[in-house]
Amino acid sequence: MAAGFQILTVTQLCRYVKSLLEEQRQLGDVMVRGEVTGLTYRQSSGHLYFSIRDEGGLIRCVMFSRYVQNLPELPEEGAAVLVRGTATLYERDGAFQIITYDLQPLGQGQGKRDLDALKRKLAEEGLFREEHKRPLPPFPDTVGIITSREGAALQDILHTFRRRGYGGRVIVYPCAVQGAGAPASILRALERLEEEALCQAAVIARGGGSSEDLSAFNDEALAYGAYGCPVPVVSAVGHEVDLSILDLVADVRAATPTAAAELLSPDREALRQRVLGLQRSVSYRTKEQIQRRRARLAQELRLLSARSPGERVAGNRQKLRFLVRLLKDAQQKKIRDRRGRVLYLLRQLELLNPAAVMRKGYSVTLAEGKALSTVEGLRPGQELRTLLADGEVISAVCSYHKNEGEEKDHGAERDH
Amino acid sequence: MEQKETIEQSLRRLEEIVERLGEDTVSLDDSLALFSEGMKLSQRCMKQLDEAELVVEEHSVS
Repeated sequence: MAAGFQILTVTQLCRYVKSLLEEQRQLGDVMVRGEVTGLTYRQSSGHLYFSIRDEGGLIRCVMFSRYVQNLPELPEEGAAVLVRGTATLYERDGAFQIITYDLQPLGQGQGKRDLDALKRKLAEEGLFREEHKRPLPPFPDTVGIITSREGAALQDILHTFRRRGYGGRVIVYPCAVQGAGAPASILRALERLEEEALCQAAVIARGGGSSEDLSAFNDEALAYGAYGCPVPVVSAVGHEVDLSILDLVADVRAATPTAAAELLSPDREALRQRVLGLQRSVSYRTKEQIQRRRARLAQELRLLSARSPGERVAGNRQKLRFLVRLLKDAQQKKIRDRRGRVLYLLRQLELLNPAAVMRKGYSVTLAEGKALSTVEGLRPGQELRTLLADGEVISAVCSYHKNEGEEKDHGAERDH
Repeated sequence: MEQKETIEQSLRRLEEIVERLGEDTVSLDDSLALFSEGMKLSQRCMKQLDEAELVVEEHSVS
């Protein structure tokens, strides 16, 4: 051992290194960029503990409450930040750290970039497509719940099912929802659910709370697992900021485990009403079927009887009766017409009856047995017979003359 | 164990029956058979609904 070699206590070495660092003026005020990780906010003290890192290293940081108060918001896990502070050694842990008094966001961190890249890749592969989303069964009687056995999510779901009177079977497939093993654990639970093939829908749930550890639901293998699940998958991860990859792949995204349970448990009373409604429809429509047939049958019967032989004979008989009546009518009319004509003629004859005429004062004069109608051919002294209504007169022609204007030729004769 | 129809299956079948009963082409025999099936099915549904109890199980994941 060389002379002057000194044995130091831990405290001495820490103090020595710390003093070396503090001698370096430029370390008193540094600006360092990195990605936030391991963020812990101590509610009680108000101090913020975190680390910043890049591909090559990691530095622990502490920000005391009086500076934390100035921050508009706490940084997110994975966020790229610019840290300003004093680089020094924390003697208690022998750890190099930055006492931070300012923290600025620097856009997206690597973790966020990776996540975005994965989202893009899965989107391109079609895992998020709307047309691949399946509707939830409206009345599932067996539902699988993939969640932590101890978490609030399970209690919320069961409570909701009870509240809505859901009378189905709920199978819990326990898994870890946080930590490095969570994605694989969730995936195993999902596979078990698929193997058993008892459930009509699967809920992957986690209660709300620490928002920094959603990484389990951003897992690529889980994304493929949920996408390939034969029954619809509901994501109920209970956070609001960002959609996880599981949210995007799932057939339905529920804001909370409670909402997921509501989506899967039909209201019992509504169901009951629906069944009663269908029952009424069945009996109403059956009645309609029977009535329709009865009406059709009645119509057929009417048609049939109209075409029966009896009906035809009756129809023909009626037609015959009608024709006979027509005939009779025609005959009678003819008879009536003839009788009318005879009467008319008789009346005409009566008018012409010489006896009737003679009763009115007219008479007929006969010469040589023939009725006289002209003076021509008469001879004086010729015997005439005049027939009256009640007898006859015998006379002789004394003279005669012809009426004037009757015939010009006879004018002289008249004067004769 | 009896293979029970799910409520969903029963409802779907009931809807089918109602649909069929609305058609002009269904025969009288068929409509009577559909009626009796529909009545039985809806009664069974109601019974199922009234008696259904929430069952919670935990299945181990290897």
